[in-house]
This record gives sequence, C-alpha cells and structure tokens, in this order.
Amino acid sequence: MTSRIPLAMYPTGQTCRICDVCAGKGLKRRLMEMGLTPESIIQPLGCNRGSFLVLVNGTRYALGRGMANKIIVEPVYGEVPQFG
Amino acid sequence: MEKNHNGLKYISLLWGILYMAAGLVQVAKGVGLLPASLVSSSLLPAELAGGLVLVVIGAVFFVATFEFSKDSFEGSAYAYVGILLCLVFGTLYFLSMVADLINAYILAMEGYEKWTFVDSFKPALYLGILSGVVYAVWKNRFKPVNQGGF
Amino acid sequence: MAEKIKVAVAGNPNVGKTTIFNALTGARQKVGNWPGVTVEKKEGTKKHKDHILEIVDLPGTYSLTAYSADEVVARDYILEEKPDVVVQVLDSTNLERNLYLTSQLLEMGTNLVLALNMSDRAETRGDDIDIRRLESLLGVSAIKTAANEGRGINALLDSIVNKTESNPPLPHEIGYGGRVEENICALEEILGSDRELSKNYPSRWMAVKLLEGDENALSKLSSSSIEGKVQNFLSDLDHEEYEVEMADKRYEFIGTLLPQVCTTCAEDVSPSDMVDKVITNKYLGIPIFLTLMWGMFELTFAFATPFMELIDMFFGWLAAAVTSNIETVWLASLLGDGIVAGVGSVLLFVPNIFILFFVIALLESSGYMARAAFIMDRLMYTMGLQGKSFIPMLTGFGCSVPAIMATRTLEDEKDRLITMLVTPFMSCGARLPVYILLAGTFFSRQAGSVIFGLYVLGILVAIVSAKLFRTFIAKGQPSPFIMELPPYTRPSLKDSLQHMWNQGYLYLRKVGTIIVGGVVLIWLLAYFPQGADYGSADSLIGSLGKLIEPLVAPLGFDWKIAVALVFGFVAKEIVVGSLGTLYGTGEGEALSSALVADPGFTPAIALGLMVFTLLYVPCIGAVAVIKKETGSWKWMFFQAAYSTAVAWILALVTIGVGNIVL
Ligand SMILES: Nc1nc2c(ncn2[C@@H]2O[C@H](COP(=O)(O)OP(=O)(O)OP(=O)(O)O)[C@@H](O)[C@H]2O)c(=O)[nH]1
Ligand SMILES: [Mg+2]
Repeated sequence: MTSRIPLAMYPTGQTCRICDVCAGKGLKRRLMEMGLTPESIIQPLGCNRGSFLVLVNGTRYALGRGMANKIIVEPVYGEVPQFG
Repeated sequence: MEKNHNGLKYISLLWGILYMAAGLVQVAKGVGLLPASLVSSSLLPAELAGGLVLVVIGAVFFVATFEFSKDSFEGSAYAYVGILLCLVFGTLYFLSMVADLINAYILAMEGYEKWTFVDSFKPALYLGILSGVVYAVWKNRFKPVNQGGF
Repeated sequence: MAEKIKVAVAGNPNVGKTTIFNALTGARQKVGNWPGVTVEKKEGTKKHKDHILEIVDLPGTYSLTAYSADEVVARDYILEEKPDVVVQVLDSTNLERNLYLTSQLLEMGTNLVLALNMSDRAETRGDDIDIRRLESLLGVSAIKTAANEGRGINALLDSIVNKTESNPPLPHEIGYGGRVEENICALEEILGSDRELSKNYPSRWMAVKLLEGDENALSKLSSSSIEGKVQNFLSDLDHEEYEVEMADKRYEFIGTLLPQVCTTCAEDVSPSDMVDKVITNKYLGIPIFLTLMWGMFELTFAFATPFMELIDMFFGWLAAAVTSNIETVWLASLLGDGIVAGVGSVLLFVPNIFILFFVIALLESSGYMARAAFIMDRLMYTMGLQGKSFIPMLTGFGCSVPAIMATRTLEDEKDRLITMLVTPFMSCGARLPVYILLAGTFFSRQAGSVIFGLYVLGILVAIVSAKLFRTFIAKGQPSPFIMELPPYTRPSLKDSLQHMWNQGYLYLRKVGTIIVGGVVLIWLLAYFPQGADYGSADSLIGSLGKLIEPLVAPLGFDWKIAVALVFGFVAKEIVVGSLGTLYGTGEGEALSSALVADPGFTPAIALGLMVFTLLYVPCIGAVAVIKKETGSWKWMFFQAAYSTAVAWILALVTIGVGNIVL
C-alpha cells in the first residue's frame, strides 16, 4: 500500500519519508537547499497545535502547519535506513 | 528503566504538590481570597505573578508524574525541565534576597528598617534550595536519556 | 607595500560566521544561537604577514539564490563585489547541507577557503573528517576551526593569504548530465556571444543560474544584446522541473564526495529533543515562556535596587555639592536642576539596563529563541503572521532598531512589513526607566508585576495590530513557517558579560550625547525667560507645554507630562530625564517624593503614562529605521500615527479603569 499524505495529517510520532513537496515556484528548491531533500527520512519529535518539530538528515527543523501541509510523506516500514 | 524512574516518579509528584500548593496559596492571597496573614505573610506572601510561576512549575511536575504513570520515559524529561525551572527561580529569589540584604544592612535604605531575613525567604527560594539538594544528589537520574524511539 | 585582500565570510546561517569574523578581526559583532542574527554586512580589517585583510561578515544563506532581504545582501556581495577570497564557514556536524553552498561557490569560480567550524562538536560526536582528502577532491583549502575557543584561526589566516598567492582556480564543473547538460551548453553559446557579460560572469555559471530560473540572473541580462534570445530559449522550458533536478544533481555530487572524506556518526533522537518536547508542549509551552519572561523582569527590577541606591547617593551628594559650591545662580541651576537632576535620573537606571541586557544575552545564546518562535507559531498564525516574526519581536525587548532590521530574515514582503510595523510595540530597554520610576514610586511592592504586565500588554497590542494589518492593509496568508533549530548550548558567562557591556556601553554613550543634549535644552526652556520662576507655567517650556496640553488633557496629563512625552520622541529615556529636570528636585528618591506630592499625579495617571510611553510613537531612531527598511515615508508616518492613536486610546481606558479601581 502506498499512502501518500501531507505530513500535517500523518499519525503523530511515526517515522516517514518525504516523497513530494506540493509547493509553488521556488519553495521546493528552498526546502532542498535547507536540507529537506526528497527521499529523506523524517523523524517527528513533537507536535504543537499543528506545528511540527522534525529531525531530518541530522538537523532539527520547526515547521508551521502551512509547511507541514505542503510536504507529502509516505510511511517507511521495517528497518529505518541510517543516513550519513 | 523501572528502578531508575521510581524515585523520580515520587519526587515529581511531591514537588508538583509542593509547588502547586504554594503557588495557589500565593495567588489566592494575591487576589484577596485568603487573608494575607494566613500561616505567615512572609513565608507565603501575597504575590499574584510569583504564585502563577510556582503553579506553572507545579504543572510541569504533574505532567511528569502523569507520564511516569503511563510508564513513558518522557516523564524524566518533564522532571528535568521542572527541576531546572526550580533552580532558575531559586537563583532569582536568592539574588533578590542578596539585594535586600545589602539594602537593609549595608545601605540602610529607607523602608528596610524592619526588614528581616525571613521577609525575602519566599517559597521559590526555600523550595529552590530543596530542589538544589535533590538535584545535586540525583544529578544522573534527572538527565533525560534517550531510551529508543517514540 | 602592504597588499590589500578583500575577504568575505559566507556560509549557512548559524554556523559561526560572526564568531569567526570576530576572532579574525577582534571585532565584537553580535553572536547569537539562532539562524539570522547577522542581517547586514559588517566590515573589519586585520593585518597578517604584510597583507591587509579587509574582511566582511555576511548574513547567512543556504544558497546563492536569495529568498529574503538578508540573503540578498550576502548574494550581492559575493556576486558583485567579487572578493579576492571567500571563506565559507561550514558546520562540521552537517557537512552534506553545508556543501550545497560550497558546490555553488565552486561553480562560480570563487577563490574558496573552507573553515570547518564547530569541529569541537563533531569530535565529541566521534566524526572523522579527512581534510586533506576534501581539499584535493574539491581543489580548495580547508581548515578545521572551533571559533568559540579560538582554535584554527591562525591557520585560517595563513591559508587566506596563501590562497591569494596561488593561481586563481578554474570554475569547478558539476556534470548535470542528460538534457540539462545539453541546455546548459546551448545557453552557454548564446551567452558567450556577449563579451561584456561573459567578462563579468562566467558563462557556464550564468547558464546554470538561468536554467534554474533565478530571477536575479535574468535581471543581469536586461541591458545586454542577447536578452531576447535567452528569453526565447527559456520560455520553451519548464523551470520547476529543472530547478529540482539540478539541486538533485548537486546533492548527488556531494553524496559521492562525502563518504570519501568523512565518517559521520549519525545522530539520533537526543536528550535535547526530549527537553524540546517539554518546552514546546501544547499546554505548557506558552506558560513556560511567560514564566521565563517574568523572571527576567523581576530580576531586572529586584537585583538592581542596591546599585540604584548607590548611584542615587552619589547624585544626591553631587547635587548638594553643586548647590553649596557654585554661586552663579544660572550655572548652579544648569548643573543642579538640569544636568544632575535630568541626566542623573536617567543614569539611575543603568543597573537595570545592564541586568536586562545580561539576561537577554543568556537567552540568546542558549538556543531558546528559535524554540520561542516555534511555540508562538500557532498563535502568530491565527493573528496573520508566522513564528519567525516573533524573533524580531523578542529582539525588540532590547532595542527596536536592530529588531526592525532583523525582520530582513522574513521571506515574504507582507509578513515583513507587518512585523516591522508592530515590532516597536515590544517594550525596549529605553522605556524601562519610565516604568521603574513610576511603578517603583506608585506601586512599590507590586512594581515587578506591573512592569511585567506592561511587557505583556506590548506583546498583545503587537499581535492584535498584526491581525488588523493583515485584515485591512496587507491582505493574504502568512508564508509557511520553517526554521532550523540550533542545538542548545550552555551560555558562557564571559560572552554574556561581554554582550552586556557592548549593549550597555551604547546606552551610556546615548546618555552622554542625546540625553544630555535633550536635558540641557529642556533646562534652557525652563529657565527662560528671565523673571519667570524656574520650570513654572510662565517659562518658555511652560508656554510650550500649555500649548500642547489640550492634546493630552482628556487623559488627565498636565503640561509637564506633555512636554516630557514630546521630548521623549528623541529618546524615550528623556521622559524620565525631563520629569527630573522639570520637577527640579535632583533624582531618584527626591523625584519620587516630588511626584507623589504632586496632586496631579495619581497612581491611575502614572499607570496611564506608562501605557502611553509604551505604545506611542517610537523614538526617532526607530522611526528612521522604519523609513529606511520599508523604503517609504508613507509607512513611517502610518506607524507613527497608528501607534500614537493606540497609545492615546489605551491610556484613556487605563486611566478610566484605574480611577475606579485604584
Ligand atoms: N560548539 C561550537 N559553537 C560555536 C562555534 N562557533 C560558533 N559557535 C556558536 O554558534 C552560534 C552561532 O554563532 P554565530 O557566529 O552567531 O553564527 P553566524 O553564522 O554568524 O549566524 P548568522 O549570523 O545567524 O547567520 C553561537 O552560539 C556561537 O557561540 C564552534 O566552533 N563550536
Ligand atoms: Mg552572524
């Protein structure tokens, strides 16, 4: 089953993988430049009224709900691959 | 994990009750629900904002207790932040007591003629000192450690 | 003859560029533990082995495509000023992302030195980085540094100098492959036909930028002969697809490089993440934030009292010395009523200001600032802004001028405008003396809470105003919020004291210049014309005050307050200074008793005056920077008028309620 949903709607606390960014011009590249590359594993650290704290590629980010709605993720099963 | 956390669990509960109670009494006195002289007007002063601070700290400990009761290791993180807040505010009140001391005995400032040491011995200070002792003894237990995924 | 070398310090945000810059030049630019501290380029020089290095510290940027005003500053400097050497500072614990910018700098053909900063952190984590290998693979020099301990700074200086002596590097090419490469070649050919352009910018680099859809690159063509051709070529392509593909290729390039140079100990969820979970808890986050704020102001107020008493005693002695030793009446009055009473009443609050700056420094270096932005994001969003806007607002507790500058980190123009307009509502250090004087006089034991209440009122007015502006002026949605969170660090006492001194020194300088000037002016107006009683309604200032009194009379303010508020526009401390001068009573204690003795000054009036001082038109420095940063007179006047109107209304309400309750 491939269930691709926005990060904002993803069940809390589970590791997932970025598969797409639904965003207008520039934002997708901006996210890549900030280190949120496609296929990266997202480890959610916390959630506060729709804002998210995530760990991606060894860096921590705060994401507002608007941003979390634009990042489309899919679940990862089994062993979480290590990055680095 | 179990053994390590049992002590913290009870400390959190106890600290939660202490801070919450002291805070609520201060708030109640501050808004005039309780007479300012109840128990002691210096050991439990009428201070609205100061009381609210204690209430917040108490709440952090209550959440810690709650998390512990679910057997979640997150409890230790709440207890850690709670004890840090105790120390921060203990230090703050300590500094303001030092200031009062200087005002009263060295500068002999107006309005400090009747000041005694007890007047600055606020709950945040004596509870802060207690917390300091507990933290010094149990330093390692308070450090939150990661115990696997969420 | 010493040779001048232009050096730029660039890199991702919060990697320690300013720390390195300070270590290199001995400057004391502001360092803080969150992304976006530096928003303007800062220059400094350093002599090293017969060379004079002219070093420029730049704002942080993730890439050479700029999204926000501070990034534009960084990009333009690198692109247009063409520094001889670019020092890219990297965070050794996050090489992959940092090397992205490196790859772009290499493509541009800059003379690059890499400073692998934070190597202390990488080492404790157990990373192993092979610097020599990195150097040979990329064709650059690389130095390991730990700037906060001063490690590697000399080696960095050496390699900057060596770099200029060696041959300039060839632009480094990243093979993009496939259709991207074909298009680059085709574009390169078109670009190459314009000699002027290809002299200024390497053709391949320009082609890459154009293909990525970089608007800045496109604008460079606007005056050239080939603009039409290029436009034609580009209009057939789908940028969005290309820009991602090319970014992907750069990461691919980094991905093949990285395993050869370093073994990273992958970081997992750490204890600090658990602390974050608590700090940002849905219900506890905002209360904990407010608790810390309250602690900050309580300390500012409580711990300063003995120092204030000492200063008070000193000025009391000075005032007595002046009156007993100087016979010339006008001089005694100038020194006694003017300088000692006016300046003294402002200097009295120096301890508070220093403590406030010290606590702010602790907060800024701890890493809590970025968390505060996160905690407030939700609330800010409903009020039409995003969490990032909260950082300039927090900076505003120190001084509004850098706070307004700090809005440069906001990508969206409207977000930025709104944030600039509301930031002055955050109560700055200059307003603190007014509160301490009035709250201390009229509310004694509750003073700390009253002052805290004013700060909270400032935050609330700012947030509600943001909502109004978003609804009526700059319609739209706030841009989505994303921010990198720095790791927590234990604030160092030395750095915090240093920071406190830097800021405190600026304050003292202000007292020595603007405030002395303002106070002397007020004294002159109060002393003349000859024959009128000093500071009475018959003096010049009295007439002036009577003239403007009707404006604030509905609030219950008399002409002295009116004058103080007018002069407070120059610098808000002057509100206190001019009260000191007008009441002509020396400072501190004496001023307090004079205020209490004045029947026109009730606790309600005092509270209203504090609210008014908090909210009315910001000082001239802040107004000027609003003009500069918005680039429009319109917004400047709007801000001034709006804030004064809000101040007037809220002061009226406060006094009305105060008269009933107090
Ligand atoms: N552990 C460690 N911390 C460092 C080092 N260098 C800088 N820091 C800390 O990193 C934080 C950021 O430093 P800055 O110099 O302000 O970073 P910057 O790159 O100028 O940041 P922006 O101006 O926001 O882009 C500060 O808290 C520094 O104390 C280092 O080598 N090791
Ligand atoms: Mg900087």
